[in-house]
Amino acid sequence: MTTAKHKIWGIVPLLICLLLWGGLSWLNQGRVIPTPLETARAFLGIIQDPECWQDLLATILRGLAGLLGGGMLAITAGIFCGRHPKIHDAVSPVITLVQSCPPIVWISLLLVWLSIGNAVPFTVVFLSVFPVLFVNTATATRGLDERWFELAKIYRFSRWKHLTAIILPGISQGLAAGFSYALGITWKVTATAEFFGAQNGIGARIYKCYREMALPQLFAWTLLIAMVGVVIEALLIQKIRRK
Amino acid sequence: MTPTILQFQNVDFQWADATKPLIQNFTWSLEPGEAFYLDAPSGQGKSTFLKLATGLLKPTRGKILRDTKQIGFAFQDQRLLPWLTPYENLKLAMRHPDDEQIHKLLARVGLTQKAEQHTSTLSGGEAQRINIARALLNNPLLLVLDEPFNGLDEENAQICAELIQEWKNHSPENTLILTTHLHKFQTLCNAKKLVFS
Repeated sequence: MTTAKHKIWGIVPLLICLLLWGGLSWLNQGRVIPTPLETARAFLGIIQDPECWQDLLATILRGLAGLLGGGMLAITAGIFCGRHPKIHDAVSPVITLVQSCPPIVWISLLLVWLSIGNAVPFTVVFLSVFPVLFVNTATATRGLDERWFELAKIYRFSRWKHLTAIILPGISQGLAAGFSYALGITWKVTATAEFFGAQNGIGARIYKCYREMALPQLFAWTLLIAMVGVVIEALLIQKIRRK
Repeated sequence: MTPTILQFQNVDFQWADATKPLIQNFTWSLEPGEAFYLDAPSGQGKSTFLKLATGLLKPTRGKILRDTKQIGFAFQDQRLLPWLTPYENLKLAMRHPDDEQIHKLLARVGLTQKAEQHTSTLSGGEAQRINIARALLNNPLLLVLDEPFNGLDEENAQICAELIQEWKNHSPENTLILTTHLHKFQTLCNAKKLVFS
Protein backbone atom coordinates (compact mmCIF):
# COMPACT_ATOMS: atom_id res chain seq x y z
CA MET A 1 0.00 0.00 0.00
CA THR A 2 1.36 3.46 -0.85
CA THR A 3 2.26 6.01 1.85
CA ALA A 4 -0.56 8.34 0.68
CA LYS A 5 -3.11 5.54 1.12
CA HIS A 6 -1.64 4.77 4.57
CA LYS A 7 -2.12 8.42 5.57
CA ILE A 8 -5.74 8.43 4.37
CA TRP A 9 -6.45 5.29 6.38
CA GLY A 10 -4.79 6.96 9.39
CA ILE A 11 -7.39 9.74 9.27
CA VAL A 12 -10.36 7.34 9.38
CA PRO A 13 -10.09 6.48 13.14
CA LEU A 14 -9.79 10.22 13.92
CA LEU A 15 -12.98 10.92 11.95
CA ILE A 16 -14.77 8.09 13.79
CA CYS A 17 -13.69 9.59 17.17
CA LEU A 18 -14.91 13.01 16.04
CA LEU A 19 -18.27 11.55 15.00
CA LEU A 20 -18.62 9.69 18.32
CA TRP A 21 -17.72 12.86 20.22
CA GLY A 22 -20.26 14.88 18.21
CA GLY A 23 -22.89 12.17 18.79
CA LEU A 24 -22.32 12.05 22.57
CA SER A 25 -22.35 15.83 22.82
CA TRP A 26 -25.61 15.97 20.81
CA LEU A 27 -27.18 13.32 23.10
CA ASN A 28 -26.55 15.34 26.29
CA GLN A 29 -27.20 18.64 24.48
CA GLY A 30 -23.70 19.94 25.20
CA ARG A 31 -24.24 20.10 28.97
CA VAL A 32 -21.21 18.07 30.12
CA ILE A 33 -19.63 17.34 26.73
CA PRO A 34 -19.08 20.41 24.57
CA THR A 35 -19.57 19.99 20.83
CA PRO A 36 -16.51 19.75 18.58
CA LEU A 37 -17.52 23.14 17.12
CA GLU A 38 -17.65 24.81 20.57
CA THR A 39 -14.27 23.25 21.37
CA ALA A 40 -12.82 24.50 18.08
CA ARG A 41 -14.04 28.04 18.85
CA ALA A 42 -12.56 27.85 22.36
CA PHE A 43 -9.30 26.50 20.87
CA LEU A 44 -9.04 29.46 18.50
CA GLY A 45 -9.76 31.83 21.40
CA ILE A 46 -7.02 30.22 23.52
CA ILE A 47 -4.30 30.30 20.88
CA GLN A 48 -5.02 33.96 20.15
CA ASP A 49 -4.29 34.81 23.79
CA PRO A 50 -0.55 35.59 24.29
CA GLU A 51 -0.68 34.07 27.77
CA CYS A 52 -1.50 30.71 26.19
CA TRP A 53 1.96 30.54 24.63
CA GLN A 54 3.62 31.30 27.98
CA ASP A 55 1.63 28.46 29.59
CA LEU A 56 2.46 26.17 26.70
CA LEU A 57 6.16 27.04 26.94
CA ALA A 58 6.17 26.50 30.72
CA THR A 59 4.62 23.03 30.32
CA ILE A 60 6.97 22.04 27.49
CA LEU A 61 10.07 23.21 29.37
CA ARG A 62 9.07 21.46 32.61
CA GLY A 63 8.18 18.27 30.75
CA LEU A 64 11.30 18.20 28.59
CA ALA A 65 13.58 19.08 31.53
CA GLY A 66 12.17 16.18 33.56
CA LEU A 67 12.33 13.86 30.55
CA LEU A 68 15.91 14.81 29.69
CA GLY A 69 17.09 14.70 33.32
CA GLY A 70 15.40 11.35 34.00
CA GLY A 71 16.41 10.08 30.56
CA MET A 72 20.11 10.95 30.92
CA LEU A 73 20.36 9.28 34.31
CA ALA A 74 18.31 6.28 33.15
CA ILE A 75 20.47 5.73 30.05
CA THR A 76 23.72 6.05 32.02
CA ALA A 77 22.55 3.75 34.83
CA GLY A 78 20.78 1.42 32.38
CA ILE A 79 23.89 0.90 30.24
CA PHE A 80 26.03 0.33 33.34
CA CYS A 81 23.57 -2.19 34.80
CA GLY A 82 23.04 -3.81 31.39
CA ARG A 83 26.77 -4.57 31.27
CA HIS A 84 26.78 -5.74 34.92
CA PRO A 85 23.88 -8.22 35.17
CA LYS A 86 24.43 -8.93 38.89
CA ILE A 87 24.01 -5.24 39.77
CA HIS A 88 21.01 -5.05 37.41
CA ASP A 89 19.35 -7.99 39.16
CA ALA A 90 20.10 -6.42 42.55
CA VAL A 91 18.57 -3.00 41.77
CA SER A 92 15.60 -4.29 39.76
CA PRO A 93 13.22 -4.68 42.76
CA VAL A 94 13.85 -1.04 43.80
CA ILE A 95 13.20 0.17 40.25
CA THR A 96 9.97 -1.87 40.09
CA LEU A 97 8.92 -0.31 43.40
CA VAL A 98 9.50 3.24 42.09
CA GLN A 99 7.73 2.33 38.84
CA SER A 100 4.70 1.00 40.72
CA CYS A 101 4.21 4.25 42.67
CA PRO A 102 1.38 6.31 41.15
CA PRO A 103 2.48 9.87 40.20
CA ILE A 104 -0.13 11.27 42.59
CA VAL A 105 1.94 9.92 45.52
CA TRP A 106 5.01 11.83 44.31
CA ILE A 107 2.90 14.95 43.68
CA SER A 108 1.45 14.86 47.21
CA LEU A 109 4.83 14.36 48.85
CA LEU A 110 6.63 16.89 46.69
CA LEU A 111 3.97 19.52 47.32
CA VAL A 112 4.61 19.07 51.04
CA TRP A 113 8.40 19.09 50.64
CA LEU A 114 8.92 21.61 47.85
CA SER A 115 5.67 23.63 47.72
CA ILE A 116 4.14 24.99 44.51
CA GLY A 117 6.53 25.77 41.61
CA ASN A 118 8.63 24.33 38.79
CA ALA A 119 10.30 21.74 41.02
CA VAL A 120 7.18 19.62 41.48
CA PRO A 121 6.36 18.91 37.79
CA PHE A 122 10.07 18.51 36.97
CA THR A 123 10.68 16.03 39.78
CA VAL A 124 7.48 14.05 39.16
CA VAL A 125 8.30 13.68 35.45
CA PHE A 126 11.88 12.74 36.37
CA LEU A 127 10.67 10.03 38.77
CA SER A 128 8.02 8.77 36.35
CA VAL A 129 10.20 8.42 33.25
CA PHE A 130 13.36 7.19 35.00
CA PRO A 131 12.18 3.60 35.75
CA VAL A 132 10.65 3.16 32.28
CA LEU A 133 13.79 4.29 30.48
CA PHE A 134 16.12 2.50 32.90
CA VAL A 135 14.39 -0.86 32.38
CA ASN A 136 14.31 -0.26 28.64
CA THR A 137 18.00 0.67 28.38
CA ALA A 138 19.26 -2.05 30.73
CA THR A 139 17.25 -4.76 28.94
CA ALA A 140 18.38 -3.58 25.50
CA THR A 141 22.02 -3.42 26.66
CA ARG A 142 21.83 -6.91 28.15
CA GLY A 143 20.44 -8.14 24.85
CA LEU A 144 23.41 -6.86 22.83
CA ASP A 145 25.37 -9.56 21.05
CA GLU A 146 28.47 -10.43 23.10
CA ARG A 147 30.35 -11.01 19.86
CA TRP A 148 30.49 -7.24 19.30
CA PHE A 149 32.30 -6.90 22.63
CA GLU A 150 34.76 -9.61 21.62
CA LEU A 151 35.47 -7.60 18.49
CA ALA A 152 35.99 -4.51 20.67
CA LYS A 153 38.39 -6.43 22.92
CA ILE A 154 40.53 -7.64 20.02
CA TYR A 155 40.74 -4.17 18.47
CA ARG A 156 41.19 -2.57 21.90
CA PHE A 157 38.32 -0.11 21.65
CA SER A 158 38.37 2.75 24.15
CA ARG A 159 35.36 3.14 26.48
CA TRP A 160 34.13 5.94 24.24
CA LYS A 161 34.29 3.70 21.15
CA HIS A 162 32.46 0.96 23.07
CA LEU A 163 29.69 3.43 23.84
CA THR A 164 29.40 5.23 20.51
CA ALA A 165 30.17 2.40 18.08
CA ILE A 166 28.54 -0.58 19.78
CA ILE A 167 26.23 0.19 22.69
CA LEU A 168 24.31 3.28 21.55
CA PRO A 169 23.72 2.15 17.93
CA GLY A 170 22.85 -1.34 19.21
CA ILE A 171 20.19 -0.12 21.64
CA SER A 172 18.89 2.84 19.60
CA GLN A 173 15.70 1.09 18.41
CA GLY A 174 14.79 -0.08 21.91
CA LEU A 175 15.65 3.36 23.26
CA ALA A 176 13.40 5.08 20.70
CA ALA A 177 10.49 2.87 21.75
CA GLY A 178 11.21 3.67 25.41
CA PHE A 179 11.43 7.42 24.76
CA SER A 180 8.20 7.34 22.78
CA TYR A 181 6.43 5.74 25.74
CA ALA A 182 8.16 8.07 28.23
CA LEU A 183 7.13 11.09 26.17
CA GLY A 184 3.48 10.06 26.53
CA ILE A 185 3.96 9.76 30.29
CA THR A 186 5.74 13.15 30.37
CA TRP A 187 2.77 15.23 29.20
CA LYS A 188 0.26 13.34 31.33
CA VAL A 189 2.38 13.69 34.45
CA THR A 190 3.41 17.33 33.78
CA ALA A 191 -0.22 18.38 33.34
CA THR A 192 -1.29 16.44 36.46
CA ALA A 193 1.51 17.97 38.56
CA GLU A 194 0.64 21.46 37.26
CA PHE A 195 -3.05 20.79 37.98
CA PHE A 196 -2.23 20.33 41.66
CA GLY A 197 0.95 22.25 42.17
CA ALA A 198 1.64 25.09 39.72
CA GLN A 199 0.37 28.59 39.06
CA ASN A 200 0.89 28.45 35.31
CA GLY A 201 1.20 25.84 32.57
CA ILE A 202 -1.45 23.84 30.74
CA GLY A 203 -2.29 21.74 33.83
CA ALA A 204 -2.92 24.91 35.88
CA ARG A 205 -5.14 26.24 33.05
CA ILE A 206 -7.11 22.98 33.01
CA TYR A 207 -7.58 23.31 36.79
CA LYS A 208 -8.92 26.86 36.30
CA CYS A 209 -11.34 25.67 33.57
CA TYR A 210 -12.50 22.85 35.86
CA ARG A 211 -13.13 25.28 38.74
CA GLU A 212 -15.08 27.60 36.42
CA MET A 213 -16.79 24.68 34.64
CA ALA A 214 -15.56 26.15 31.33
CA LEU A 215 -15.82 22.80 29.52
CA PRO A 216 -15.12 23.92 25.91
CA GLN A 217 -11.89 25.58 27.16
CA LEU A 218 -11.01 22.48 29.19
CA PHE A 219 -11.41 20.35 26.07
CA ALA A 220 -9.41 22.87 24.03
CA TRP A 221 -6.46 22.84 26.47
CA THR A 222 -6.56 19.05 26.47
CA LEU A 223 -6.43 19.10 22.68
CA LEU A 224 -3.46 21.47 22.83
CA ILE A 225 -1.40 19.26 25.16
CA ALA A 226 -2.20 16.20 23.06
CA MET A 227 -0.99 18.09 19.97
CA VAL A 228 2.24 19.05 21.77
CA GLY A 229 2.85 15.34 22.46
CA VAL A 230 2.24 14.37 18.83
CA VAL A 231 4.47 17.15 17.43
CA ILE A 232 7.37 16.46 19.82
CA GLU A 233 7.08 12.71 19.18
CA ALA A 234 7.28 13.41 15.43
CA LEU A 235 10.23 15.78 15.83
CA LEU A 236 12.36 13.78 18.26
CA ILE A 237 11.43 10.12 18.33
CA GLN A 238 10.70 9.50 14.67
CA LYS A 239 14.14 10.90 13.84
CA ILE A 240 15.84 8.42 16.19
CA ARG A 241 13.74 5.57 14.75
CA ARG A 242 14.78 6.41 11.21
CA LYS A 243 18.50 6.37 12.10
CA MET B 1 65.79 -18.54 26.33
CA THR B 2 63.86 -18.34 23.04
CA PRO B 3 61.36 -15.47 23.02
CA THR B 4 57.76 -16.53 22.66
CA ILE B 5 54.73 -14.63 21.46
CA LEU B 6 52.24 -17.06 22.95
CA GLN B 7 52.53 -19.83 25.52
CA PHE B 8 50.01 -22.45 26.60
CA GLN B 9 51.06 -24.01 29.91
CA ASN B 10 49.18 -27.21 30.87
CA VAL B 11 45.95 -25.77 29.56
CA ASP B 12 42.57 -27.44 30.02
CA PHE B 13 39.41 -26.02 28.57
CA GLN B 14 35.93 -27.34 29.12
CA TRP B 15 32.58 -25.67 28.38
CA ALA B 16 30.36 -25.38 31.48
CA ASP B 17 27.72 -27.73 30.07
CA ALA B 18 30.14 -30.27 28.55
CA THR B 19 30.94 -33.68 30.03
CA LYS B 20 34.60 -33.76 28.99
CA PRO B 21 37.29 -31.18 28.26
CA LEU B 22 37.77 -29.90 24.73
CA ILE B 23 41.46 -29.28 25.37
CA GLN B 24 43.39 -31.25 27.95
CA ASN B 25 46.80 -30.60 29.48
CA PHE B 26 48.03 -28.75 26.39
CA THR B 27 51.45 -27.17 26.45
CA TRP B 28 52.75 -25.26 23.47
CA SER B 29 54.68 -22.15 22.62
CA LEU B 30 54.61 -19.98 19.55
CA GLU B 31 57.77 -18.12 18.59
CA PRO B 32 57.84 -14.85 16.64
CA GLY B 33 57.74 -15.43 12.90
CA GLU B 34 56.19 -18.90 13.09
CA ALA B 35 53.03 -19.94 11.27
CA PHE B 36 50.65 -22.73 12.23
CA TYR B 37 47.40 -24.13 10.94
CA LEU B 38 45.09 -25.98 13.27
CA ASP B 39 44.29 -29.50 12.33
CA ALA B 40 41.11 -30.88 13.87
CA PRO B 41 37.81 -32.14 12.52
CA SER B 42 34.86 -29.77 12.42
CA GLY B 43 33.37 -29.07 15.87
CA GLN B 44 36.54 -30.13 17.71
CA GLY B 45 37.29 -26.67 19.07
CA LYS B 46 39.41 -24.85 16.48
CA SER B 47 37.53 -21.56 17.02
CA THR B 48 37.64 -22.10 20.79
CA PHE B 49 41.41 -22.57 20.57
CA LEU B 50 41.75 -19.28 18.68
CA LYS B 51 39.61 -17.51 21.29
CA LEU B 52 41.84 -18.90 24.04
CA ALA B 53 44.95 -17.80 22.12
CA THR B 54 43.64 -14.24 21.78
CA GLY B 55 42.30 -13.91 25.33
CA LEU B 56 38.61 -13.96 24.41
CA LEU B 57 38.22 -17.09 26.55
CA LYS B 58 39.98 -18.06 29.76
CA PRO B 59 41.32 -21.60 30.28
CA THR B 60 39.59 -23.83 32.83
CA ARG B 61 43.03 -24.80 34.14
CA GLY B 62 46.59 -23.79 33.33
CA LYS B 63 48.01 -20.55 31.99
CA ILE B 64 48.13 -18.77 28.65
CA LEU B 65 50.78 -16.07 28.32
CA ARG B 66 50.74 -13.53 25.50
CA ASP B 67 53.65 -11.28 24.72
CA THR B 68 51.81 -8.93 22.39
CA LYS B 69 48.64 -6.90 22.21
CA GLN B 70 49.07 -6.27 18.50
CA ILE B 71 46.59 -8.88 17.36
CA GLY B 72 44.52 -9.03 14.18
CA PHE B 73 41.61 -11.48 14.15
CA ALA B 74 39.48 -12.42 11.15
CA PHE B 75 36.44 -13.98 12.77
CA GLN B 76 34.69 -16.91 11.15
CA ASP B 77 31.38 -15.00 11.31
CA GLN B 78 32.93 -11.74 10.04
CA ARG B 79 31.40 -9.48 12.69
CA LEU B 80 31.09 -6.30 10.69
CA LEU B 81 29.00 -3.76 12.58
CA PRO B 82 25.81 -3.62 10.48
CA TRP B 83 25.11 0.05 11.26
CA LEU B 84 28.44 1.13 9.75
CA THR B 85 29.74 1.18 6.20
CA PRO B 86 32.73 -1.04 5.24
CA TYR B 87 34.96 2.05 5.38
CA GLU B 88 33.70 2.94 8.87
CA ASN B 89 34.16 -0.65 10.04
CA LEU B 90 37.79 -0.51 8.99
CA LYS B 91 38.37 2.95 10.43
CA LEU B 92 36.88 1.89 13.77
CA ALA B 93 39.35 -0.98 14.09
CA MET B 94 42.39 1.23 13.49
CA ARG B 95 44.38 2.41 16.47
CA HIS B 96 45.54 5.47 14.54
CA PRO B 97 43.07 5.99 11.67
CA ASP B 98 44.83 6.42 8.36
CA ASP B 99 42.49 7.07 5.42
CA GLU B 100 45.16 6.32 2.84
CA GLN B 101 45.86 2.88 4.26
CA ILE B 102 42.15 2.07 4.49
CA HIS B 103 41.53 3.02 0.86
CA LYS B 104 44.63 1.12 -0.24
CA LEU B 105 43.38 -2.05 1.46
CA LEU B 106 39.85 -1.57 0.12
CA ALA B 107 41.33 -1.31 -3.37
CA ARG B 108 43.41 -4.44 -2.85
CA VAL B 109 40.35 -6.47 -1.88
CA GLY B 110 38.38 -4.91 -4.77
CA LEU B 111 35.81 -3.10 -2.67
CA THR B 112 36.52 0.59 -3.30
CA GLN B 113 33.10 0.98 -4.93
CA LYS B 114 31.36 -0.47 -1.88
CA ALA B 115 33.29 1.51 0.74
CA GLU B 116 30.39 3.82 1.60
CA GLN B 117 27.52 1.39 1.11
CA HIS B 118 25.53 -0.05 3.95
CA THR B 119 27.33 -3.15 5.29
CA SER B 120 24.09 -5.14 5.18
CA THR B 121 24.11 -4.84 1.36
CA LEU B 122 27.44 -6.71 1.07
CA SER B 123 27.49 -10.30 -0.09
CA GLY B 124 29.04 -12.97 2.16
CA GLY B 125 32.24 -12.95 0.13
CA GLU B 126 32.51 -9.16 0.21
CA ALA B 127 31.99 -9.09 3.97
CA GLN B 128 34.68 -11.74 4.32
CA ARG B 129 37.16 -9.62 2.36
CA ILE B 130 36.47 -6.65 4.67
CA ASN B 131 36.93 -9.00 7.64
CA ILE B 132 40.39 -10.01 6.36
CA ALA B 133 41.31 -6.41 5.50
CA ARG B 134 40.34 -5.35 9.03
CA ALA B 135 42.53 -8.06 10.57
CA LEU B 136 45.54 -6.81 8.57
CA LEU B 137 44.86 -3.12 9.07
CA ASN B 138 46.98 -2.42 12.14
CA ASN B 139 49.88 -4.46 10.79
CA PRO B 140 49.55 -6.92 13.71
CA LEU B 141 52.34 -8.96 15.18
CA LEU B 142 50.01 -11.93 15.67
CA LEU B 143 47.44 -12.62 12.97
CA VAL B 144 44.64 -15.06 13.75
CA LEU B 145 42.46 -16.21 10.87
CA ASP B 146 39.43 -18.41 11.45
CA GLU B 147 38.36 -19.95 8.13
CA PRO B 148 39.36 -16.78 6.23
CA PHE B 149 38.54 -18.19 2.80
CA ASN B 150 34.96 -19.19 3.57
CA GLY B 151 32.56 -17.76 1.01
CA LEU B 152 35.33 -16.50 -1.29
CA ASP B 153 35.57 -17.48 -4.93
CA GLU B 154 38.94 -18.76 -6.16
CA GLU B 155 40.12 -15.40 -7.49
CA ASN B 156 39.31 -13.47 -4.32
CA ALA B 157 40.68 -16.25 -2.10
CA GLN B 158 43.96 -15.96 -4.04
CA ILE B 159 44.01 -12.15 -3.63
CA CYS B 160 43.46 -12.49 0.12
CA ALA B 161 46.12 -15.21 0.39
CA GLU B 162 48.59 -12.88 -1.34
CA LEU B 163 47.72 -10.07 1.07
CA ILE B 164 48.36 -12.39 4.02
CA GLN B 165 51.64 -13.56 2.49
CA GLU B 166 52.73 -9.92 1.97
CA TRP B 167 51.95 -9.13 5.60
CA LYS B 168 53.96 -12.21 6.67
CA ASN B 169 56.92 -11.20 4.52
CA HIS B 170 56.78 -7.63 5.82
CA SER B 171 58.53 -8.59 9.08
CA PRO B 172 60.32 -11.71 10.29
CA GLU B 173 58.47 -11.25 13.59
CA ASN B 174 54.99 -11.56 12.06
CA THR B 175 53.29 -14.68 13.40
CA LEU B 176 50.26 -16.52 12.05
CA ILE B 177 47.70 -19.01 13.32
CA LEU B 178 44.94 -20.07 10.96
CA THR B 179 42.22 -22.59 10.47
CA THR B 180 41.01 -23.52 7.02
CA HIS B 181 39.43 -26.58 5.52
CA LEU B 182 40.97 -25.76 2.12
CA HIS B 183 44.09 -27.89 1.77
CA LYS B 184 45.82 -25.55 -0.67
CA PHE B 185 45.80 -22.73 1.92
CA GLN B 186 46.77 -24.81 4.95
CA THR B 187 50.41 -24.34 4.19
CA LEU B 188 50.04 -20.62 3.50
CA CYS B 189 53.16 -18.79 4.75
CA ASN B 190 54.75 -22.22 5.26
CA ALA B 191 52.37 -22.91 8.13
CA LYS B 192 53.02 -26.04 10.15
CA LYS B 193 50.33 -28.36 11.41
CA LEU B 194 49.25 -28.00 15.02
CA VAL B 195 47.24 -30.73 16.73
CA PHE B 196 45.80 -29.54 20.01
CA SER B 197 43.08 -31.99 21.00
